[in-house]
Amino acid sequence: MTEYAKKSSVNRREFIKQSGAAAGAVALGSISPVAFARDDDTIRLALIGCGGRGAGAVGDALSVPNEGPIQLYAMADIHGERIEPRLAALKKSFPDKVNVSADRKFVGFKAYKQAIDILRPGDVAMCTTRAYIRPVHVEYAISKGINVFFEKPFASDPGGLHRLLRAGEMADAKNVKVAAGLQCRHSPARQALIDKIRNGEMGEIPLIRANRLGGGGWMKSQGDKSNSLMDQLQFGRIHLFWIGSGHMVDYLIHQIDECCWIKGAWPVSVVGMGGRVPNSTDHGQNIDVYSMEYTFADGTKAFCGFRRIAKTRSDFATYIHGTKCAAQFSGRTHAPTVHMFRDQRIAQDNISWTPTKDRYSPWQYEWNDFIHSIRTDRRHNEVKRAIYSDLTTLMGRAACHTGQEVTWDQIMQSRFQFCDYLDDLSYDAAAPVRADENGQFPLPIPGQWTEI
Amino acid sequence: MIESNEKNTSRREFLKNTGRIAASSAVMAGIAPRIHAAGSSTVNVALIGCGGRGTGAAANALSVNNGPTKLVAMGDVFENRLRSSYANLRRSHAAKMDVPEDRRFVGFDAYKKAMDCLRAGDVAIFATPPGFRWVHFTYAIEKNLNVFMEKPVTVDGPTSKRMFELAKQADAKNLKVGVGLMSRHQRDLEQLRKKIQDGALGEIILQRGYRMHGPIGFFHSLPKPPGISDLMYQIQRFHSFLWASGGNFSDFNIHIIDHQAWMKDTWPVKAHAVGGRHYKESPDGIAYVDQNFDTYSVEYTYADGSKFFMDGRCIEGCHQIYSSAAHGTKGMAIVSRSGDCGRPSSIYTGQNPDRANRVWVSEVSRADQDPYQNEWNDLMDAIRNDKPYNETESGVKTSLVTSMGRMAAHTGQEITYEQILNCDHEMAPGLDKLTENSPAPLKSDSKGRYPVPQPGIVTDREYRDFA
Repeated sequence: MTEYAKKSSVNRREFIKQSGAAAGAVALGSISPVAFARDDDTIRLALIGCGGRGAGAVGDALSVPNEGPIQLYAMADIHGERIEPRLAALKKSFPDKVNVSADRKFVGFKAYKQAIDILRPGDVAMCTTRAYIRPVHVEYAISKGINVFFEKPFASDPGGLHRLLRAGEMADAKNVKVAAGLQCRHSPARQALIDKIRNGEMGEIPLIRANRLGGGGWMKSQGDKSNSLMDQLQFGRIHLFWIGSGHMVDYLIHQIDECCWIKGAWPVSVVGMGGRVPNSTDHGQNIDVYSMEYTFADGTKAFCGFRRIAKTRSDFATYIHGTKCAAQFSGRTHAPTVHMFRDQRIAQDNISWTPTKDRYSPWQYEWNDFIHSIRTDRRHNEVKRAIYSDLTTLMGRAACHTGQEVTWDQIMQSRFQFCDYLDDLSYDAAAPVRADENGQFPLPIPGQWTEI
Repeated sequence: MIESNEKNTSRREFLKNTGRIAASSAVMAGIAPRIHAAGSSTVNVALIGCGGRGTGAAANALSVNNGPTKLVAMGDVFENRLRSSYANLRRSHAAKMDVPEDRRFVGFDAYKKAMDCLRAGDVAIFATPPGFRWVHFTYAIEKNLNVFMEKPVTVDGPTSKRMFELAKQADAKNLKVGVGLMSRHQRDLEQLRKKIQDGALGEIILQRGYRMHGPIGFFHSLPKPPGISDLMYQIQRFHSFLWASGGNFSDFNIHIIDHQAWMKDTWPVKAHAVGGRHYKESPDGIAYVDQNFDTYSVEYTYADGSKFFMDGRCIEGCHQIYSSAAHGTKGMAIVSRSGDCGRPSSIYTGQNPDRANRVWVSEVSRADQDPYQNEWNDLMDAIRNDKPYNETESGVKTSLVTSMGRMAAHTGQEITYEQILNCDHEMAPGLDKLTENSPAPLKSDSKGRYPVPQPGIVTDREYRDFA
């Protein structure tokens, strides 16, 4: 990846020069006829879902170095009032790269279609709404031959994820480029450790530990708003499973993805447990702690821990224990904190190797790679591995919520959905989950709950 | 008794010194009912705490393979417990019992009365809830008695320090002390430990332990019913109360924690843990009031940086695992195949316990397959042949390490061995002064609820007493 980062600094002008040459044209032609077969070489972005993560992704997209013109071209959201402030902020940061005219702001449950319909092949639909509706949006963009960036979680249930897998196959067939918001895989520092692992420098890896333990918040009773769809979409991103998958999935998916990357494999099974603290007043669906033990086909383990309780021990890191030594793979807020240690002891005074520091954030690398793929018509379809990582995460969630062992085969066969009318949602549709008279939403009770 | 304190340092010496004992037994006779003629090679046993485990331990004591034993006294705070234990033991061991009614003691001083029936060099069995262990041990040492004590042997830091001191006193008197952590007497695990020490697994990087099943024992409790005092309720349902038992975490998981530390040949230095509780309602919808979480997942760390994960769960209808394993740089082992220390143990190449990868499996003759009997044979062998034998210190360390994991889950903090040892929260001070009229160590609120752990809120101890 370090080398690749250098290669990618080939600038847009050079690219155009090269692509004008026969060699470049042949390379492009052999893969796909669509990439940039047009006069305007600007990549247009349509932001679908104008929340904080979406805006952050736009910022990264507009900051890609040396890859040619790119601009934010359209915005869509179900909440019209979200668009203007977000647009103003982005304009302030990127005055030359934001070009969203009044007729390219779309509001409503069909706004995603309108935004995608005005893109051309080579442009990018940014699917950054809450997770529940992602499959619908991504599927549509791919069907229209539009490149896609989509945020995690990718859907909130196995049914949605399997729909995305099928969309991913369509993207392969159409040579549509798809980037998925698991940015850690684009970090050169992590890649450097992966290379060492693949070279056998850590020996076998019997144990990976991925923890995200930190302060959190409970949801108060939402009173009269509890059972309104539109209100749930506001307050429920973290607190309702059908909207955002719940806090464990939303926050720990990156590190579970890292575990699978380190192993170069998907787990065959998981056992898990979790619960609330006794004093909980949370009216949402989350439980406060999760502990998951993933087993890979070779019998090795990844232990993944999650806790959101204020003033408890915090840990936000992924560690590897190999038969030759231990390593740290990532650190707080997904920082590329990468070290190898002399033995199994994780300590600053025991470091044996540290890679070159990453120049960019993992989110920036992710976009650099993605735009480079679009510009050079390199195959770029992250759907399958991203969805597999999300399915892996949902295996863990299900293991903790149901109290059962969950296998890879089970999650691959599951089409469970929290909401089976995603394509028909409207402002006055019924809410898929209901709170009781105290405003308490249904809680997973192991031994009783199902979500597979 | 003062004389015998000085002179009787072991059963063997006791047997050798029968002449002197004969003289001193006259003194004993004045204190306790006379049991045996001097010169008998029989080792007498008193059972203190007549629940299921105590009854089992007594049965093992009466089944040892290396000389005559006799049960001569029993004590409990619950009369019905004592009665059913006595009846149960009579069914299989009547010939080895001599426990007339005047040596069946009920009450908070029963432990003293039962031990008073023993001669120096006999054995007292402690199988009450572990909170009382230090109280009983103190008296046994005073009386020059050998001891078999059930696990856990402590539930908190202050009593652990006390027990470390008592261990030294017992050593000074050459008393033999067995602790009911029977994994260390399971011959299969002994063989595995030898293989590990010979390098069969390389260095151990990861250990795993599980005890996940439905709610058992006194895991949860409803509000105290009328007709029983709070004190008696807490003792009766000891798994529900941390001061009495260390809670279900300590009582249920200590065996696996103990044998994993034994395999590693050291104890963990710190623990991180998560735990939760919100599934706690009776089928009738009444909230349980005990102090336990329903799930615990502890990550123990050893000084060398290697890890031991211990998972405990008590929820109906969930996946059940009850076993342990160790992963090393050269291969892996099933330590306990099923249960606390179930045989056989086995070793595999690679990290996958597939039959095809199995390179070793323990082999133990049928007569030696019961770890509960083995621990008694070993203890009596040490007593009869004056072998060094005091499992107290290691039992206290294992109990502390168990409490360390529990405290990490209950507080949400990382807890080190030094922190749990030096934590000044003695959950039930003054247990040596307890009478049936004493207030219960744990106060309930007006709704009969007891204080529960609150991770992140109460962090310097596992719960805060109600005012």
